Amino acid sequence: MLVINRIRNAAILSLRNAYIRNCLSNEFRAATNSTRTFSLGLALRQQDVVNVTFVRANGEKIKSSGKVGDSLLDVVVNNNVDLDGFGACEGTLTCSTCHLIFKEADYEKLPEKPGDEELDMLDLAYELTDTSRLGCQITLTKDMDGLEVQVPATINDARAA
Amino acid sequence: MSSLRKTTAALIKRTNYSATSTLLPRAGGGAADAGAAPHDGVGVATEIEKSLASGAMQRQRQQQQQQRIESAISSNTTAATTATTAAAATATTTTSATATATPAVRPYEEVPGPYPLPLIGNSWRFAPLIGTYKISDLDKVMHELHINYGKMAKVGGLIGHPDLLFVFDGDEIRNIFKKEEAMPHRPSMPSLRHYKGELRRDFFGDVAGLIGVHGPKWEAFRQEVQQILLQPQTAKKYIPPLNDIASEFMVRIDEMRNEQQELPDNFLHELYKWALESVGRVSLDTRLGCLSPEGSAEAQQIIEAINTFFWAVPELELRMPLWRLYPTKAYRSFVRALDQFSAICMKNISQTMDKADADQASAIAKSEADISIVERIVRKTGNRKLAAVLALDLFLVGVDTTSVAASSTIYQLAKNPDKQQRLFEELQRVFPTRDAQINQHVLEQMPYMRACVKETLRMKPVVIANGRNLQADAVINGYHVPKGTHVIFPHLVVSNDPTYFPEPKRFLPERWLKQGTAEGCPHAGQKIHPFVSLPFGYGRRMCVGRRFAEIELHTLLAKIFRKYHVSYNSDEFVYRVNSTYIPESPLNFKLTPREE
Repeated sequence: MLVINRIRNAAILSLRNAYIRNCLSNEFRAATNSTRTFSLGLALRQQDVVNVTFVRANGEKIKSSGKVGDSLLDVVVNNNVDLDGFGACEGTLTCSTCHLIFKEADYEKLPEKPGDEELDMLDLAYELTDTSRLGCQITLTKDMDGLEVQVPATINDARAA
Repeated sequence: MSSLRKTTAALIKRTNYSATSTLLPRAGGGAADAGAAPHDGVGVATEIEKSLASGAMQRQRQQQQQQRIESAISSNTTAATTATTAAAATATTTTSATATATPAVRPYEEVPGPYPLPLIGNSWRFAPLIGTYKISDLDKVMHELHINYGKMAKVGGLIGHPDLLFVFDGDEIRNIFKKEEAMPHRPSMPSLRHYKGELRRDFFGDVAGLIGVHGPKWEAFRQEVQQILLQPQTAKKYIPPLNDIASEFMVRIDEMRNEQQELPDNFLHELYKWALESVGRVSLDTRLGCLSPEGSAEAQQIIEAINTFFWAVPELELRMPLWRLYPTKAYRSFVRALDQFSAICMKNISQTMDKADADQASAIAKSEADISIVERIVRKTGNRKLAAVLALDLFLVGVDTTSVAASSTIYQLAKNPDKQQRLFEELQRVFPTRDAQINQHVLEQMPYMRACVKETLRMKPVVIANGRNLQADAVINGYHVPKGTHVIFPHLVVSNDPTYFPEPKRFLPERWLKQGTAEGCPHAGQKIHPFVSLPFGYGRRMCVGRRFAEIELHTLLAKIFRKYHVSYNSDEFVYRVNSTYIPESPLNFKLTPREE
């Protein structure tokens, strides 16, 4: 029964999320994006496409892509990547739902180390590893093309338990 | 066959039981309702159970029919029996799986807690004189509830108020926080909602702000402002002006000390002025002039209005809501304070916005730090009202909170000279002279400072509890809890519980240091439960001023502890709940200048 319950709750939550995201995309996305670009101070060029693969806990791979200067959260939002509950706080570093696990080599190569604010939030994530980061804080660079990141299972489970 | 009948009967019995005893919202509906009950976790489970039960009955009927037909035909019976037994076996496994999964959930009525009296419930406990729960002693009340009732306690039967459910368990707090990440609903502040939504509706209109607002209105407002307020990169643009204000305050501190080098008893009030000046500068790009020795009458009025507001809110919301019937004393002070506060703030906000418009018209190039929050929001949204309401909210919650956190941290460091020494050594490495000038780079090099603030807020969180208004039925600590219940997370009690923090009464900033740097702390290796001490809250309703509060605190404390050795010779701090958790004791810290 718990299982049925979980599935049902997950379905409800994903519906609601889709609704909220819809509202977002209609009304606020323009505003949100402009702030982000503004805060990162980066100009975007159309040809700088970076391919990223998200690997779910069950091994399923989701291929997606973003532009240099996008964050991994932008990639998920802009491409409607189906990761339920991902990025609840819209990259304001107040939750840990965009938790991603990197391969060690990739983690070492990331241009910026996590800041204090990110570390505080990472502490709140389930399944924290030594190579965990928050997707909203990772800005794509050209060398990240082909990056593969693991999505912890509990992003979904936590919301339906 | 008989085993199937038994489980079915048991199921039906249990379904009836839960329908009557757990007061599930749509319990009477039957199987047809199963699809129409989307929000209630447990409710749904019961509905599905029922549909299964009726399914099982149907199957049973079919089997009986089948058997009749079979006996009539009287051929190939063995195969049919095998088929029915198989069907029965499947049904039994499904039902027994459900049977083992649910009976652990106990009904809401059984949640322990103080017994509500007939008619007047538990409201009397907060009444003056006869009640044992004094609002200013809410900290002790929560502690008592934890001792008497354990992991969770229910205070029901509050007149005009939903039940309060106190949860003292880190894992359960995490579950509730994690589940509500999309649009969390916090117990609303009916008093503020009344003020903004009814009494002064002509001013606020549909822009209600952040505090005490929920649902789509809150969502829209938060959307607009959070990227500006909570992005660490935006907040860091204001480090230079916040550094200047803290430097000016250091001059005041130097002048305020008496012959014994002690600060005045009401130093908290001086801290209010520092925090107010900082909020004014960041949100309006205005210097209110709180830090001049003669003070500012306007600043004084704002501070008094804020203090009155915070005194009045729990008076209005925890006692019987008589203010809904006639204007009580608390209600009159509340409205007067908010009116006065809004008027002064609006005057300053209008000035700022006129200036911003003028600047934009003449295209004056401004440094990032000179663009106020209000101006950023007007530029982004074109909505002056929205910017003004946000500024009001920032003033309301950005003054006494930061000041109290500063005073508690100074106190803890004064009482723990060894920790103060370690902090001083860190500051000495970062700042070569006594005059600490703060910039983004140095703020990132003070892990021990951050740990000191975290440890102080663990012991004495400025806001003693957080809460959520359940938007769906939930199971908490094995009990079914109906939607609408106000679940309270009493961080003050939980983060001082030895289960989560060994030796909770000891000030050990080392607990918060990452491994390898945590020498000298007996509990350094212990993993901290991340949801037990959350002084700024969590998720989409996290304190929107957090970044500014942290910059202000780290900046001022770095300056004080780099320049002075601080001691405190009076008794232990005594705290009182005035919405925020405020020290009542004199703040006559003794500040001895260090030699470079």
